[in-house]
Amino acid sequence: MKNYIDEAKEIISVSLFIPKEDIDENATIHAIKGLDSLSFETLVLELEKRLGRHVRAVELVKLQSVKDLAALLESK
Amino acid sequence: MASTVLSHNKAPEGAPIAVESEHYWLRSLAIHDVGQKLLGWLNDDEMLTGLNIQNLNFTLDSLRKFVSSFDNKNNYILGIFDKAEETMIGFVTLDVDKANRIGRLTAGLGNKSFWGRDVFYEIGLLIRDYFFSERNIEKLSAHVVEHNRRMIFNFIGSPDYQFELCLQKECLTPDGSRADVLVFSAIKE
Repeated sequence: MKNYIDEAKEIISVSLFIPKEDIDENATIHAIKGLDSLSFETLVLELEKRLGRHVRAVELVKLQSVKDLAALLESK
Repeated sequence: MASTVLSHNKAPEGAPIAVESEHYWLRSLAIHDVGQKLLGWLNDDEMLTGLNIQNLNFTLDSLRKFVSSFDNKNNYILGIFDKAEETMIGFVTLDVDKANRIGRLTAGLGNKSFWGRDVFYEIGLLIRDYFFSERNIEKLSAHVVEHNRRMIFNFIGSPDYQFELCLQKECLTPDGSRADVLVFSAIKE
């Protein structure tokens, strides 16, 4: 079974240039070191690439944690 | 929770206001604040796209008229000033519905070196604390067009401005397509 938490961490890692190991799966979005409003855009672009579709703003509002990001990936 | 307002000038309704948080000043803009900096911001394509307003082709004269149209009763235009750099970095407008004690916020950060620095998080709390306590406002809302992801990020997980609803296909974008608008609101307890 695919590990969506791991994929969520990978997206954050690629977007922020930080090691996956430094990302706590229980972290909230705002607790992720280096994530700000500018890098958030990069993260969303990476997310869209993996989902293969546009992510609507109402979906972004729900992205409050690493686990929420994993849940969105799982819903693909 | 402690207020973010460090000080304010106790201005009566209709008078210019000045209010201070840890890192920023907010004060009513006046005609003497209108210059090339503000003009440049309000004619900047990237800024206008984020705000989803059409280019108003302001000149210095028309911008002075625009700024002087804010009466500090029914509407406000406030400059955001960074305390460390002692310079204006952006602006906020607030349109008030006095009968219902609600205000609608629009904000732009013209100085792009401040993007990504959580300016709006602190400013949003400052505005909430000030207008709730001093201006008899009981609800503040920000309408954010769906493509302004940077601004949406500022509201994600905010305990103060909560996602209220999505107005589907609410506005027309410059390319002729329609876009959703998200409403984030703070309500006085």
